[in-house]
Amino acid sequence: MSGECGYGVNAPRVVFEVFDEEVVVVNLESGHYFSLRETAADIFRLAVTGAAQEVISEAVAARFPKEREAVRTSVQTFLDALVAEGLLVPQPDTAAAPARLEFPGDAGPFTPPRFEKFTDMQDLLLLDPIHDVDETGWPRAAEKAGGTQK
Amino acid sequence: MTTAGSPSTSSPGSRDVRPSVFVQQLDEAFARAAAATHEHSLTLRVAGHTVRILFAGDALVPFVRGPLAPRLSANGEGPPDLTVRVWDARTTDVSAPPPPEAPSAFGPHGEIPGYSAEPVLAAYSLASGALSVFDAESATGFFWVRDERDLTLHELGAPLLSLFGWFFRARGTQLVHSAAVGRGGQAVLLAGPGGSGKSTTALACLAAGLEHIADDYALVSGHPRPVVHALHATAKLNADSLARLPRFARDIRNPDREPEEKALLDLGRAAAARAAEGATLRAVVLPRVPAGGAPGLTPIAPGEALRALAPSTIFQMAGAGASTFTSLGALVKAVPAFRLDLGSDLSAVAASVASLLPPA
Repeated sequence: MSGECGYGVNAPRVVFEVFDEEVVVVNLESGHYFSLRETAADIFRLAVTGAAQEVISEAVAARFPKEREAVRTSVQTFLDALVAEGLLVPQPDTAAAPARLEFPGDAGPFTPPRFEKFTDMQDLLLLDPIHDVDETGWPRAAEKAGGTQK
Repeated sequence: MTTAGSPSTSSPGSRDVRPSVFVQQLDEAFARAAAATHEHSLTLRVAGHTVRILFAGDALVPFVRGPLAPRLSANGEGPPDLTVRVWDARTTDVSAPPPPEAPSAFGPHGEIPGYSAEPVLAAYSLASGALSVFDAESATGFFWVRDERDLTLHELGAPLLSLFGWFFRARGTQLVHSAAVGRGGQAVLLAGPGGSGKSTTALACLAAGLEHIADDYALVSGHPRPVVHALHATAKLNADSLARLPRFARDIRNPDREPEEKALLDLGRAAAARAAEGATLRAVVLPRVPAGGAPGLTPIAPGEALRALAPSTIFQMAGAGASTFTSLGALVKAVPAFRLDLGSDLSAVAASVASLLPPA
């Protein structure tokens, strides 16, 4: 996408909580949830403020001047992955770009941003097959063997 | 209106399916069921609220009264904050009104489209054929099941769960998928996925003299310091854990269960009565069976605690979503969190949890 475009969180399907060292993101539709740390968390925090892709890439790359181009490429790949997971949506209007882009602390060596993805809730969102509907209009109860007992 | 014996001639597309009309039809169906049998009532005190349960017939009374026995209260608490009307079709011959939407449109937790937000929330269990409906405007709930013998182990251990969740969420109290134990007016939540050791840890704590507040679902209210409230006084335990905690064999409600099925324990005699008025939350603890290393507590970041609490709460509960996530985010920021590596010595496990609570 164009560097002039920005991003927004894919609300209301996606919710997130920001902590000092982690951002936890939940896709309420898919059941997948994510842990973002370090540079990945910084990028997500910037992205949900409406910052343009170019602004985000530059803000991260400025911390690693010897690896500037590799960092910019890595940031874009990561933003594309967040979009592919349905966590962010591209937004053409970046008027709400943030005023504060600095990252605190020492940069250290650049590590490509990544997220940890958890899919263990997916089974809870699988639709049970609809069984026969009886004269009441409601589906019959599943056979015991196929129930959802925990 | 239909009965169990007379077919419906309506279809969702041709009926008035406004939530207010559906609620009125449920009210009328319950009245007919009560007239066909008799009406029975129980009064509960839950998290500072009075809940009146009205039954048409007796079939579902044990289903509610057993797991909620410590919450029973003498009548005369004043007008109820929540009234729930409960009946079954098998013994009353009265069914719920037909669904307002085609069952093929139901959500993964049986959510009925158009009934997933206030004023009326509804969900239907495809596993048991149980319908739960909550009308926020009148603070009235309905629970109907075709045949009470179809209720799942999950429902038997946590009756009226969706109704309690919907009612309390509107009052700033969150139903959390977690076990909980306490002492001296303070509590610890035990969170994590199935099989992580929540139930075993909570019962080990009960055996060691702590209060057992919750096995699967606890109510948590209040900010900035969360307060934990007991709801159901039951626990579910697999065979291995039961063998390690044989004293609870006397509390098993399903002695004829299938070999792979968990034992359902009735803890009404021993567990939660003292915690009824709420216990201040001290910590969130994530039990796990260790891959190695010494058992004990290790501090963890709040994000890890949120990942243990929020997804399993949200994705097991009909209608839970962003507001539940926000509540749980605030909760894990308010108290410290720990991982608890479980060892074979359950008394040491209980001692680790107890170390987070005030002395006896």
